[in-house]
Amino acid sequence: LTAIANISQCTRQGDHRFVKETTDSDLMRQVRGGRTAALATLFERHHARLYRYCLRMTGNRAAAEDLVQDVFMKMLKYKTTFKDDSEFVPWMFGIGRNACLAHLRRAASDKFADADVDAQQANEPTDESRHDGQDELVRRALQRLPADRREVLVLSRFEYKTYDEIAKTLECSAGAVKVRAHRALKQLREIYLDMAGEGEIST
Amino acid sequence: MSCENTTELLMDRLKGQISAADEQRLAAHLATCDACKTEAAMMTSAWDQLGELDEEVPHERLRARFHAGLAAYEARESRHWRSASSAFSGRSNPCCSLVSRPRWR
Repeated sequence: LTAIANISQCTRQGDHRFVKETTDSDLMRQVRGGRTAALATLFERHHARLYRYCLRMTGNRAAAEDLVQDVFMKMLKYKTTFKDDSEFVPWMFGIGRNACLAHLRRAASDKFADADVDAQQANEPTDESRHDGQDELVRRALQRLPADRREVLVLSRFEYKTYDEIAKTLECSAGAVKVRAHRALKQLREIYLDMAGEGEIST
Repeated sequence: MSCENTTELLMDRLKGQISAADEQRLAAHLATCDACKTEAAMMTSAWDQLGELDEEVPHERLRARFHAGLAAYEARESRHWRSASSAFSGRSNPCCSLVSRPRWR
């Protein structure tokens, strides 16, 4: 009874220690069981990370916001695909990955998007003042990488701690992830140097 | 160690997940192979530069949008269950009421 009283006191005082103790997978299983409000905690824990992944994949803030919303709504729609032994983060990135690739396919099939995607993204009203020219150039070089190479590089550099985890998401071996990430990094560097050589750094 | 083997070890090193033995093998190879040494320096610089990109914070409207989406989903689900339960009890289902009660009295 004392423990219950403590928990309720902490909750009243806005202490979220007890909420944090619940694992992501437990929360998602609660969502699956019908307590959909538990998704709000998962959103708080992971939406910024998912947003950054979508932003790096699309290079477009509005698209990244749409994709995050889409992914969380898909979690509700497809909640029963979250199994007892599923892990939340790889499951989330699985949905996010499919959503990003579908978005990129739609953009590529757009008659303007295919050739002008770089120009379009470069012309977006992004908050340029926050970034120096070099960062902006790296960002744009990343957008010029083929989507599959961008994906493996973004996952390797930012999203996952180990190649084994990426291998699970991409359904290949860890060795293949390393080789592909290396190739992507090399190409990124070449694109970057080309763009810098063309004087795009000042555009 | 051959030049081909450096790729995976270099990627392990960049990720910070290289074993001490592999680090020793890689360092020994790089000390004797100028081509791999140059390549490793270029890859390291690109990797570091990529990591310097800002961690952008999503706009606050994303949270509001999520909560609106969640509320809409919960409302839809709740309507669905209410209508399913009334269909079961036959109280307000239009088909049942047509059969059981005359609409106009």
